Amino acid sequence: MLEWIRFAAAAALAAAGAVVLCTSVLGVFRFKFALNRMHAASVIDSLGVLLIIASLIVAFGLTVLSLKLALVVVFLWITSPVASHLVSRLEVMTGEDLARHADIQAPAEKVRDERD
Amino acid sequence: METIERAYLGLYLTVLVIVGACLIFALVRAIRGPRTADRIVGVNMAGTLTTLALALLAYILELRDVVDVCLIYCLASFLSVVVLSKVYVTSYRERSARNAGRPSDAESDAGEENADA
Repeated sequence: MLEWIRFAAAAALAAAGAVVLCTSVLGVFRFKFALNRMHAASVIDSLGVLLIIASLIVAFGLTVLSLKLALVVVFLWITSPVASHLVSRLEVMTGEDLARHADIQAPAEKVRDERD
Repeated sequence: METIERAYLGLYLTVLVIVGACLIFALVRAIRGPRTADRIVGVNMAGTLTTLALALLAYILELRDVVDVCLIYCLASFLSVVVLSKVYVTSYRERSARNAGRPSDAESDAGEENADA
């Protein structure tokens, strides 16, 4: 009986993770601008990975293996904002018609690059 | 005990199929993204979903070592995103510096130093 309660917890976490994955992919295809798409895509990096790996940790039990899986989540939480920052800097620096999509004033790094 | 193992297997196989479908859609976004940032977002999504698929396969196939591969794949995916965005920003900067230097009389083709700085 206790095993089935554990299975129900794992199944609920995995189902929530699958719903988050589908929502994020839908958002990536519905949005029309790269910065909005990035906002939708970063849901996978934080919440989708957390839910599915939490489900796997519940299924595995607390071992060294689940510590490694938790390390994957921690690492993704550290690196995903850095990657998002780099991609958004790329889009702001190379975007020609940025003011049509977003309310962004003149890209400060571009100005700074030309001044240096 | 036999039933619950099959239940876990069916659950994670279903999640793996969903992850695979999302991976295909992420690759579609990476191929037909109109701008470079869209492509890099698709590549980043594909890397994260592959990490998830590896973690699921470690449970399904009962291969304990695949979790280490999963950790390393996470690192490599982040590195690919960093390198791609750095390369595109650098090439764009050199191209725009070259285009800005052409109409003026300064014929210096050095990438970093702008002529009218």
